[in-house]
Amino acid sequence: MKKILVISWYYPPINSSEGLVTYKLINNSEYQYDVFTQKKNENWSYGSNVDYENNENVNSIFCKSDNINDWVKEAYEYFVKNRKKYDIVMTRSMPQESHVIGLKIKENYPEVKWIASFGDPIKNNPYNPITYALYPYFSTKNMVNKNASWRWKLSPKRIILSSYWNYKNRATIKFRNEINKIEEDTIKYADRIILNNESQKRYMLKDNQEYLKKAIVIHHSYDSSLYPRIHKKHNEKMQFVFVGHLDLVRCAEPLFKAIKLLKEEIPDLSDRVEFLFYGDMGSNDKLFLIDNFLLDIVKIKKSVSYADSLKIIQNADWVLHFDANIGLAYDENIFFAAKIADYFGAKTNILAITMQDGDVKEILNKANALVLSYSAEEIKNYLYLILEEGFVLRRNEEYIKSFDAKNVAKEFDKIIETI
Amino acid sequence: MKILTILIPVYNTEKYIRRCLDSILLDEVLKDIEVLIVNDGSKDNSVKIIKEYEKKYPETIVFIDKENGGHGSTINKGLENATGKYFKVLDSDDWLDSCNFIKFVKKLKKCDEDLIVNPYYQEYVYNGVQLLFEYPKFEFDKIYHFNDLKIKDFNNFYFVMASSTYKLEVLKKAKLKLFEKTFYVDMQYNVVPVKYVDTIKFEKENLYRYFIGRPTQSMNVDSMIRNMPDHDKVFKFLISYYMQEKSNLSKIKQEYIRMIILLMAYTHINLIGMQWKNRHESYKLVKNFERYLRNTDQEIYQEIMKYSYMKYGKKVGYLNVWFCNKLFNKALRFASRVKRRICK
Repeated sequence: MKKILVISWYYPPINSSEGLVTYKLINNSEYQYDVFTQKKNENWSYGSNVDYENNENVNSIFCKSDNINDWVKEAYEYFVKNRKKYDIVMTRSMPQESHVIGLKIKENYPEVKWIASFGDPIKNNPYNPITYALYPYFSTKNMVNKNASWRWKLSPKRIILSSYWNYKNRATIKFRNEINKIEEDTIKYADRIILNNESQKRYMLKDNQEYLKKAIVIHHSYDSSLYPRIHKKHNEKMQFVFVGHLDLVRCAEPLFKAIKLLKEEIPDLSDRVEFLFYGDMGSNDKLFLIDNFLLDIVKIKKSVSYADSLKIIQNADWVLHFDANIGLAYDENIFFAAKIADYFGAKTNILAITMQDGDVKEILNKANALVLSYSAEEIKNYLYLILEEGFVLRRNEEYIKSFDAKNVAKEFDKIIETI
Repeated sequence: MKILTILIPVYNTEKYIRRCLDSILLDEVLKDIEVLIVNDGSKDNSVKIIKEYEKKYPETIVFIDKENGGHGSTINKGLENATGKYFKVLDSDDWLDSCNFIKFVKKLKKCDEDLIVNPYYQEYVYNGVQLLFEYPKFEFDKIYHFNDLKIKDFNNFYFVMASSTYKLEVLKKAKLKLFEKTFYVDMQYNVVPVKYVDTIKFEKENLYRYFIGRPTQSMNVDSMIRNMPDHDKVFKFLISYYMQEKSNLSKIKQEYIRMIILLMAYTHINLIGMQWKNRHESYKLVKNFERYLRNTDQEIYQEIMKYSYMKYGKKVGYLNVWFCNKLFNKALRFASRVKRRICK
């Protein structure tokens, strides 16, 4: 049986979206895995609050250091020492350093089969200002200037300002180019590329059509065994729950605007419904809630552990999902939040606010979730229908089953089989 | 008899039709409304979705499936089959505000006016922006006689499909028959029934949510340029209708229809101005347009010739269109912007 070395900075006991996605996938696979990871550095994670145990087919190997550069070195050295033990190496971003290890292995041992799995795009990530928007206002790469007249494009003023900006930001630009190169090289040299949705595949490979054949979409999954067995209690107020991270771009403002509009129609709204937000929230959203006196309806709660979050979403009447509106940068949504798969497993109705196009929208539609645009009026209308008209949706359980970790792992095993 | 027939023309709107139907199929109004869904030969899953709803609301939904004939043909079909006292068109990618719709239907039961007008929103759903369109000079819930209205009160806002609910009797009297396989037939819908409208009531409930931003929508500038022959056809229809009916219309109705025609002419001229890629075509278009107008109603001709594009174009025999249409159009737009700022 093939044995795979998984190189992932995040993996339980440190809980992070990427680590949990890896955990669910390999623990439901039929193959043998060793995971080279670390358990000392909790930065950018949910903390090491729940220690999920590995199944018999998975073994974790921990790095001694908590420094990512040391981890890169140790992971490579570990592979060199034990290379005969493994048939395949799988590297998982984020962070992108795991692919650096993959590149180093591939450079020195070209015969090793390498699977590179991407969470979000690294290069041209519209969500990341360093990789996407790091162009001076005067650069022709800037959207404003793209459609500008030739006179402006050729103007010495623009060229001088642009060059000065480039000079001033040379260190950051160098850093951007380096991390962009990691993605380019990974796509070029990996034997298989795993992406989590079709839109992401289209986006990341739009300039590298020749590598389309080795790119495979493996969706995020939910693992039924991780959900605590609970009796769903009847909430006094209808409960809409969001668990996760919000910020200035991926924000809940359209929903809050809708609640504000609905409050004008239904004055006793706070007695009938509550919106619970567990985790981080952007300052713009918080200010909106304060300015519009919505804190009686929308409650901001502290972050909870992954296990608790599963309990909370099981108990909710509706769970909420928000996608960042990157419409100015790209026409379709290229992100697939792992949370959606967890929502599928929780057997709760989903209200998703997302972009008009993209694979994730299709997935949510097929699952029969309530998929809405960023129009506050549209959201308000549906909230009204849910509260006043008893609007319900019947989840498409058959389709949702395809996101069960066991089924997703079967797809993944096929890749292992054929590589 | 149901109080209101809502006609929903459907053509390949599987992504949006649920939102549209969910917004009007409400327990409080089911008994009072008839939802007439006319499928215009959709090739996607729209019919499957409609049938699902039809099964759930057999008393309310009437489904008509027909071959593709354009937006106008669906309205014609709807008018043939409608039975409600009032008639409203709701495009399947738009929706109504549910809360206000319930209030609207309740009020409608007590109404007997020929035309009910509600404010509406244009919804730019891609970026969450919305624009309210209303008629601020008119009082809510007051009954007006069309002949008592003043043209300046309209402030260039006429009664559009999204804001109007007509008494079915009025539309039948007007023998409204829209062009088939043609875009912009809503302009016919906005103009033709006016002759038979006597009483109007303005209501405060903003009802209609007009979806804007879909790339294939006919309101999109690129689509408008592509569909210019249809724009031309409808524009010419309106002028001939106006000339034919002018003597039968009251002064205010004449002014009202002329206002619509002039607004449409403005769009038409802009479209010619934007056709800068094919200068030969643009030159021909503008010459023909002017020639056509000259032979029609002189009042309208004089008004249209006041538009800078036509006025200055005429002076140089429209050679500007041949040589620098884009530049000329841009210069005029810039000048009008400056003028507007100075006037402020």
